[in-house]
Amino acid sequence: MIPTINRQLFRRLPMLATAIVATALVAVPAMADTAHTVRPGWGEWWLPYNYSKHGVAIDGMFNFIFWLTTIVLIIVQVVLVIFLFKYKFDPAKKKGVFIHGNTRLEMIWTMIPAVILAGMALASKSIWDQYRYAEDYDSTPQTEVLVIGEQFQWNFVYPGKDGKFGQYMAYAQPSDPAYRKLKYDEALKKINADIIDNPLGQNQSWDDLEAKPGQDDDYDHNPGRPLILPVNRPIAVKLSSKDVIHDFFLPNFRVKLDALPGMMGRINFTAMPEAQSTEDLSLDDPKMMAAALKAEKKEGNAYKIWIDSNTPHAIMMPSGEVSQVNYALNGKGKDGNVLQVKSREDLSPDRIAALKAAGITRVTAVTKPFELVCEELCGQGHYKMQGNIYFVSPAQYDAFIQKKEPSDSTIKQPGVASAALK
Amino acid sequence: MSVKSQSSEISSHGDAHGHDAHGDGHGHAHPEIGFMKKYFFSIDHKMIGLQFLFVGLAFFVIGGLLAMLVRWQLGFGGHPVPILGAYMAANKVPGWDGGMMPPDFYTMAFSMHASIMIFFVIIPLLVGTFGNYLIPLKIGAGDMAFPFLNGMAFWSALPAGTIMVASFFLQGGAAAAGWTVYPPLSAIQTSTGHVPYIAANSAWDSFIQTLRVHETGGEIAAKGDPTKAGVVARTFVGDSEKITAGALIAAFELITEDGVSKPPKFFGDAKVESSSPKQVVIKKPDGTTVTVDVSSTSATGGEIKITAAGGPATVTDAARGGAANRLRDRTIKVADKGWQSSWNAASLVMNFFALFMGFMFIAAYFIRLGSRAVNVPVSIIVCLFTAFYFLHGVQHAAFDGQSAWFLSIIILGFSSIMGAVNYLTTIVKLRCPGMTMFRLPLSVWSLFITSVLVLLATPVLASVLTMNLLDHHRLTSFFEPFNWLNSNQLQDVAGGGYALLHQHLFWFYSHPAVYIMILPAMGMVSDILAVGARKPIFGYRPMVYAMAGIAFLGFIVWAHHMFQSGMNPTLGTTFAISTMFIAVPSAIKTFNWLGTLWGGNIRFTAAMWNAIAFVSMFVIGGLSGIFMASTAVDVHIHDTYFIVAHIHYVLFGGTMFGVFGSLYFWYPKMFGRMMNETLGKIHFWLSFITFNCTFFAMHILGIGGMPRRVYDPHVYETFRHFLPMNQFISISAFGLGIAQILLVINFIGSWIWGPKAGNNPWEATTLEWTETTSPPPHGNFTKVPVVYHGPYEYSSPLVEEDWLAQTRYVEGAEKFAHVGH
Repeated sequence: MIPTINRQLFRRLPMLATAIVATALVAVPAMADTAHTVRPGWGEWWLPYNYSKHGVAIDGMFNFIFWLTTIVLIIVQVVLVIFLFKYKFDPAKKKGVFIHGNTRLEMIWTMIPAVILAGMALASKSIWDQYRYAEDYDSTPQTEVLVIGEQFQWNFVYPGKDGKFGQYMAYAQPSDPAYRKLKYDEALKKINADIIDNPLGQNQSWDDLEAKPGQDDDYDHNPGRPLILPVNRPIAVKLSSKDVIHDFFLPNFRVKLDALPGMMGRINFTAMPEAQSTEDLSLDDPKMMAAALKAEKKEGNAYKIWIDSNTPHAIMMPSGEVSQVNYALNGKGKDGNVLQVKSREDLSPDRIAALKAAGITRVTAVTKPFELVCEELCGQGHYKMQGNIYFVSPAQYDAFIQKKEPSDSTIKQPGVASAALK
Repeated sequence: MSVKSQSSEISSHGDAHGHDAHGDGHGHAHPEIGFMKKYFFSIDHKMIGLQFLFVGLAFFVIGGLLAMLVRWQLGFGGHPVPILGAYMAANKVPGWDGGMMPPDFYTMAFSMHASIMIFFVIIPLLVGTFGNYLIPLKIGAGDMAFPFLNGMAFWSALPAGTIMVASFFLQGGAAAAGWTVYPPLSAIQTSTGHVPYIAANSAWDSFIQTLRVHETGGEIAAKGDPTKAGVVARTFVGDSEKITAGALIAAFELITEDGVSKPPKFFGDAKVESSSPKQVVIKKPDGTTVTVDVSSTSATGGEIKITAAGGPATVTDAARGGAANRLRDRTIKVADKGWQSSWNAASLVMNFFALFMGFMFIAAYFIRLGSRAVNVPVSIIVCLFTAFYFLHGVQHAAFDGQSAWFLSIIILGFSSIMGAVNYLTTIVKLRCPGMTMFRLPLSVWSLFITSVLVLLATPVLASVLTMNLLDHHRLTSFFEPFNWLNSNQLQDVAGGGYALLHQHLFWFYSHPAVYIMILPAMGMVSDILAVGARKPIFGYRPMVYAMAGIAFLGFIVWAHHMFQSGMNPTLGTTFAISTMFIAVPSAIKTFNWLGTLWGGNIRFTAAMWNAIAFVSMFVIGGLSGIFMASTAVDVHIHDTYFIVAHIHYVLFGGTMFGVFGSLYFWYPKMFGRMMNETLGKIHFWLSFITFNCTFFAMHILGIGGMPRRVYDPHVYETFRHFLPMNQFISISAFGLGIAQILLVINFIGSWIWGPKAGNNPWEATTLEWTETTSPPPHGNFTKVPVVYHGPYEYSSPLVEEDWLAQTRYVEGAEKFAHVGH
C-alpha cells in the first residue's frame, strides 16, 4: 500500500514546491465536468458560479470583505516584517525606545476599525434581509416546495394542482383511537410498522378539511428522486426534518439552511434564467457528441451525458438517474425505451438516421445538473446526503406540476424493485 | 543615577537570600513530603501546573494523531491507512476491509480530535499549566488561595480525559456527533453493534445483523407484502457500507426462516448453496440458483449485483434508502446488554481506574483530617465501591461513546470551575505588597479575565450537557420535538423539545470558551514580546481594557454560530453587529503588539519567534472571522472548510504558537534548565511553514464551498477538483505532525542534558525571574517581594541595564512610566 502512494506523492512533488500554481494545473482536466458550477481555470479556486438573484449581492459583499481584509493583512504583515528587520538585536544599540503608549494612536486604531466594521454590519443587514425576508421585497407569487430531510435521503413534496400542501409529519401516537386499545409497546410497534407505508406522516384522513389539500400532493419515498424547480420565479423552500438536523445547501445558489426536526424553516431564492438545466437539442447537436465522447472516456460519474428525451422514446443514459428525470418531467412511470449512449457509436450517423425515422428529432438534454449538499452529520454509517436539482423553464414546471395525479403514497422504487423482484 | 544605590538596598534578589528564610512566605512548611504526595496528590501549584503540562502534552499527541487520520482520509481516501489500517484489517475489524477507513470511524476521529484538542489540550495547557504555574509566581504569592481545590481541579481533569480516550474502546466506538454534540443526533444511542469497531467479534456482528433483518423482514412479511420484504432485505444489505458475504447470508436466511411469519414468495425455502467473500449462491426450491455478486466492497460505496431469474438488476446508491436504517434503533436494546468483547473490558478497567483515582484524591484530603490508620482503608473501600457502582449504573443505562463524552466534559467542567474560583481569589487576595491591579503582568490579567469567563460560562455547559445526557438515555426530551423519529421509528419519549435550545445554550458556553482558549495566550505572548523586544508593552491599559472588552462582547455574540441554523433571521442581524464589534478590541491588541515591536532591540529567541508568529497568525485568523460575522457572506461559507481554516488559525496559529512560545520561555523556570535554542528555532520554522501550507489552503476549499465533517467530499461533482489540494494539505499536515517530534526531543533532552539556567536567563523584570530560583522552592519566595512599578520597565533610561526589575526601587520610575500616556 505504501509504495503506491509514495509513487503518487513523488509524482506530485513539483506541486508541493509550487503549491497553488501546480495544483491548479493538475486540476484543469477534471474541470470540464463541472464547468457550469465551478469557474474555469484559476476560477476553480474561487466562489463557484452563482445562479441566484440574491447571490449577486452576497458575492459582492464577499469580494468587498476579501479585498478589504487582504489589504489590511498585507499592511500588517509587511509592517511586522519591516519591524523585525529594522529592530533586530544590535549589541551596540543597548536599549530600545522607552515608550509606554500613545493615547491618540490608540483612539485612531480603535475608531477606524469600529467605523468600518459598523458599516459592514449594516451592509450585511440589508443583503441578509433581502434574502431571508424576500416576501417583503418581492410580492410575486412564490413557487413553494416542501423539503423534508430524513436519515438518509431528501424528500421533496410538490403541492399539486391546488398549490397547497397537506399536513405532514403527523405521525400516529399511541394515544390515538386506532392504537389506544393496545399496550403501549405494542402500539408503538404497530405505529412504527405503519410508518413504512406513510413515511412522511401525511395526514390522510381526507374528510379532514386541513388534510384535504394534501390529496393531490406529489411525493414519493424514492431516495434518488431529484428536485425540480423553475427558473426566474421566486421559490420558497419549506424545510423540515423527521429525525436529525440536515442541511440544505445549494453551493451555486448561495442558499443554506438547516432542516430542523420539529420546526419548519423557510428560505427564498430566485434562480437566474441561465440556471436552466434543460436544453432543447437536435440529435446532431455537437453537445450530444461531446457528451457521448465523455461517456466513452468514462470521465466523472454517472451523470456525464445528461440528456433526457421529451419524447416517449428516450435517447438516454446512465441507469436510474435519467429515468427519474424523465419521470419527473413526463409523469409517473413513463421510462420509455432507454437507449444508452455510452460511446460515439451510439450516435453514429446510421443510428441517428434510424432514430429520426422513428420520429425522434429533438431531445431535451439535461446539460446542467446542480447538486444539493448536506453539511451536517446525519448519523452512523452514512456520510452524505447528496441530492440532484434540475431547474426547468416556468412553462415546463407548470406542466410538471399539473400532470400529477393524487399520490398513492407507497414506496416506489422504479426500475429497481420491478426488475429485481420479477 | 543616584537612585541606583538606594534601590540595591531595598530590592531583594531571591538568589542573594538563598533558602535560609524558608517558610517566610507562607504559613505551613512541609520539609518531608512523601513521594505520592509530592508528585501525585500534590497541592503545590507548581507541581499541579506541571501535571497539567504533561497531561496536556500527552493528549496533544493523541489529538494530533487523530488529526493525521482525518487528513489521511481526506487526502488519500481510497488507500489503506498506514499502521492502523493494517492492524484493523489483520484483526478483521468490521468495516476495515483492506485497511480503508470506514465513514463511522472518520466521524468519530474528527469528533474526538476536536473534543480532545479543545477540552484536554488547549484548556489544560493554557489555563491549567500556565495559569497554575504563573499566577502565584507573578503576583508574589506563596501558593494558590485554595491549594486543595487546585489539586481537585487536576484530579477531576485527568479522569475526565481518561474517560474521553477510553470511550474509543466502548462498543460502538467513541462519540461521533461532532464536538458540538447537536441533538437530536447526539441523543441517538450509537452503541448498536451496527459496526462495532474495536470489538473484533464478527460472530456478534452477524448475529446482530441477522436479528435486524429477522425482525423487519418478518414484520413486513406479516403484512402480506412479500415484495416489500424483499426490497427491505436487499436495501439493508446494500446500505451497509461494508458488504460482507456474512451479511448477505444473514439477509437471505432471515427470509427462509419459518418461525417469523409467512416467508416472501420469491425466496421460498431457498438455501445458501455456497458462499465466498465475493459471491453467494442461493439455491431455490425449484432448483434454480440465485447468485449474489458482491462486486465492490470499498468503503466509499459500491454496488451489489444480484443476478436472479428475472434478469440482472443493480442496487445502486439510490436504492439504498431509509428502509434499512429503520432497523437500526430496534437493535440497540439487544446490543447493549453486555460488555461483549475484551476491549470493552479494557475500557471498563480504564474508566474504573480513572474514577477511582478521582475519588481517591477526595479521600486523600480527608485522610489528613483524621487518624490515618482508620481513614486509609475506609477511604479505599469507599472509593472502590463508589467507582464500581458508578460504572455499574452507567453500564445498565447503555453506556456508549456519547454518554462517555457527556460524562467526561461534565467532570471537566467541575475542574474548570474549581480552577477559576481559585485563580480569581488568588489574584484578588494574595498579591504581594505594591502589586496593584495595574502593575500585574498582562498574562495574569488575561488569566483573571479568563477565569471570570470560565466561572460565568461553564455552569451553562454543565447544565446543557446534563440535559443532553438525560435525553440520550431517553429519560427526558429537552431537545427532541414532538413526533420525533429516529431511523423511521417513532421515539417513545419524544415530545415537546426544541433542538435549537441546545445550540443556544451550548454556544453560550462555547463562544466565550473560544476566548478562554485565546486570552491567556494573548497575555503570555504580550509578556514574551516585551521581554524579547526589550521594550515596555505599548498601551498597557488599552491592552487590559481590550481584553475586558473581548470578554464582555464574547458573551453576546454566541448566535453567530447559528446564522444558518433555522434561528429567527432578525436575531442573526443582532448578533452580526455584536460580532463585528468584537473585532475592534482584537485590532487594538494587534496594533499594540506592533507598537511594542516598533523601536525595540529584538532578541530572536525561539520563544520570541513563536510569539511573533502568534501575532502574525492571529491577524489572519481574526480577519477571516470578519467574513463569518457578515450574515450575508456566512450563507455561503458556513460549515465549510473556511470555518475550519479560521478556527485553526486562531487556535493553532494563535494559541498553540503562544503555548510553544510560553513553553520555550518558562521552561528554564519550570525545570531549571535551558532548552536548545537551535532545535527550538528549527521546530518553529518547520511548524510555521507546514502550518500555513495546511491551513491557508483550507480557506480556498471553503470559498469553493467544500463542506466540513464530510467523509469523502469528492463524491460531489462540485468539489471533485479539490482532491489535489486536499492531498497537498494532508501532506503538509503530516509535516506539521512530524515537526512536533522535535519539540518532544527538545523537551526531554533539555531536561536531561540542558545547561543549567540562571534565575533570570531572559533578563526579565517580573517576580518569577527576579525574586526566586529556577525552579522555585516550595513556597516560591524566601521573602515577601515588594513591588514598586509596572511589569514592563525595559530600556528604562533610569538604570544602566535595559531592564528594571519590578522589585527594584528607583526614584521617579513610576512617574516616568506614565509619561508616554
